[in-house]
Amino acid sequence: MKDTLTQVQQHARAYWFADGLNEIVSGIFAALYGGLILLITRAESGAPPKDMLSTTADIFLLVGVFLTPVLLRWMKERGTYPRSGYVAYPELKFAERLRRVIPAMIIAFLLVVLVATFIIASAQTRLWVFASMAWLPTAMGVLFGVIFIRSARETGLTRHFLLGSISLATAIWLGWRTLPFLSRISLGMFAGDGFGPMPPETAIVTQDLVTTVYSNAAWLLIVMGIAAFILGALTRTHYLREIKNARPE
Amino acid sequence: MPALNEHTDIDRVLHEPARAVITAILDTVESADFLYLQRETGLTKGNLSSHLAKLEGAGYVAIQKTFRGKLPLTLCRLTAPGKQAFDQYRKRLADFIAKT
Repeated sequence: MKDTLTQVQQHARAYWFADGLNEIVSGIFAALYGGLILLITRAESGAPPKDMLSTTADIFLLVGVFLTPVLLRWMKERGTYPRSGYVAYPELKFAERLRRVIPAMIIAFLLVVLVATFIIASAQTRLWVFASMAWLPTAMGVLFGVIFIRSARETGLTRHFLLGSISLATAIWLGWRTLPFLSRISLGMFAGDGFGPMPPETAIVTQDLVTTVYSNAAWLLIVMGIAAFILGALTRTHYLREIKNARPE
Repeated sequence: MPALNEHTDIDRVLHEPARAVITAILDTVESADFLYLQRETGLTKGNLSSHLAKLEGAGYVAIQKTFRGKLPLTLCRLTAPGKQAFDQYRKRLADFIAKT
């Protein structure tokens, strides 16, 4: 059982999410980006709309990543802080950020080396790499789930626990969608030394793999985006009803 | 009786529910304004001012009066001695509960 002071601190940490704006803004962004990716996977290969959609998605991602935090801060400055007060959270110092980023960079580098080694090593290891790529969206869903459930523990927000559960459920669904694809790959497809042109059968399955991975990632973003938007909108309604339009002293 | 001294020697500035809550909030955030603290603690303006003044007097809280646009803003943050005192206070409380 948590003591009162811990609950107070948990509540203070949750204030950043109290107005529901975070879920609304990031939910819209995720759902739109997922929708764009889904459209790309359904457009015909090499067709002008596909190229246009790809460029739009890239620009949307770049602009969104930088613009979303700015937009969120702007909305909070106008809609939240005048109503329920201003809170600034501690920001990580450069050394602390570096301390967190370096292990992630080392892991990413080792992963790249491992994948490259596996591709060169043998037909069996190439098959492992190929099969594991199909599970990337499922892994993303599990990762989102863990992040949201961890956030729910830190802030005490039930809706983050709900979002984490939705993400884990979506990951299971995506895993289910991946299973039939795995039956199409066989060791014979990866015979040879791993260099030179790809056999036609392998090329077709590779194309299908890329489409499946993108489509699954798109569905994950759409489901999570819509769920976050709905929960954010409900939170926003509740917040506005609860909090009177107060002004600073 | 050294054991009893341990318990009676608790920080009196922090050992008051409202001030303990204010300090707990400020220990979590970088800074918070008067309006937020008032909403979170449920205290009246006068009461909150009085508690903040006591914490400021003890050197635990720094108060900065500023403006956000055209609106006045009173920002409060926990000082380094305040953070240290709060950590010590919590440890004392935990020790006390563990021993009883």
